Amino acid sequence: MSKKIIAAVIAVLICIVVVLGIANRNAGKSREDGLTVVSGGKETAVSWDSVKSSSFEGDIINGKGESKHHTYEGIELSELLSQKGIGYTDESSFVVSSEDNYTAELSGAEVNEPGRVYIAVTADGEMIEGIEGGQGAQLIVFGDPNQKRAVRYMKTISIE
Amino acid sequence: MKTERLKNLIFLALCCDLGLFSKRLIAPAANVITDFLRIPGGIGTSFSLMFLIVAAALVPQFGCAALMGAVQSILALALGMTGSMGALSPIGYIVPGIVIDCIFFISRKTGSNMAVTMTAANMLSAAAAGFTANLIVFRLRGPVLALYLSVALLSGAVSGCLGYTLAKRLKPVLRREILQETDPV
Repeated sequence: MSKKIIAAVIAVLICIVVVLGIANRNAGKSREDGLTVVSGGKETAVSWDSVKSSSFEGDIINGKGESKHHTYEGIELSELLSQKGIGYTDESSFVVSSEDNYTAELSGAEVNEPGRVYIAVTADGEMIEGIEGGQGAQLIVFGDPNQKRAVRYMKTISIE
Repeated sequence: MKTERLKNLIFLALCCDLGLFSKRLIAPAANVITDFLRIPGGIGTSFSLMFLIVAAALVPQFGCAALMGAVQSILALALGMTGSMGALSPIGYIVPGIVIDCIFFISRKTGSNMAVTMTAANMLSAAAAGFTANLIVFRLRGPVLALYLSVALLSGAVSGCLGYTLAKRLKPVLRREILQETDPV
């Protein structure tokens, strides 16, 4: 009897996961390629082409504490926001989300710090891919003790 | 210290370590599924909680799962394995432990079937872990949050069944060892 109950619960959960999984993937597909910046209730679309404007390099510390030097192509986040006319202050809070709904938080002060926060579209000469291939982007935060805020598959930046 | 108590503590410590490191082992395979579903996790945690549930089933003392969660959080902080929750990761380890203890407490009072208890404990503790991570880090809403919690519940149910099989095989082994040590020569 208990085995039947457990099997039934698992079967129901599989159905729910399949339905919600398909809905979630379709919701992701319906969005256009590129980045969306949400500020003050207004959404601004940013194409990957407009992100690829300059090259930068620096050391990134991985989860094991090892430091590696990388060269990227992309744009400093503060510069991108200034190009798009999106205002923020040192007290602003940034939430960067990925296509797989991973998030990282940044402060306005960190974004304002020169040479700290970038959006990269290539790393060491190779294209950074999106979750389903094609062009994607990654958040690069220099000076962090690990890569927890190096959000892959970047999709949305929300500013509050 | 009584031999049985010492053996229980060693077994709990072993399950703590297994739970902590199994998450790392299963992560590459789990990430394939979670990337496909576009959610930030949920599978690895359910699997790692299986070891806490096996220990809670074999060491029938209230609070042992919460204690194991606390030990895991100290180990995770000491080894820098805090994941996305950072310094708040102890909450993410202790909350599922409390949920496991509560479910086993209710189950022992009501005399519920062990397979159902272990599956329910794994499901609800995985959901509690997911909910805590969502409150602290992910901030998911609507259908994505529902999917994230459903995946946690599903992988929790599967891990719970696996844990029950494991506990069934371990129970006679542990009992025999304790009897051999404590039997008068």
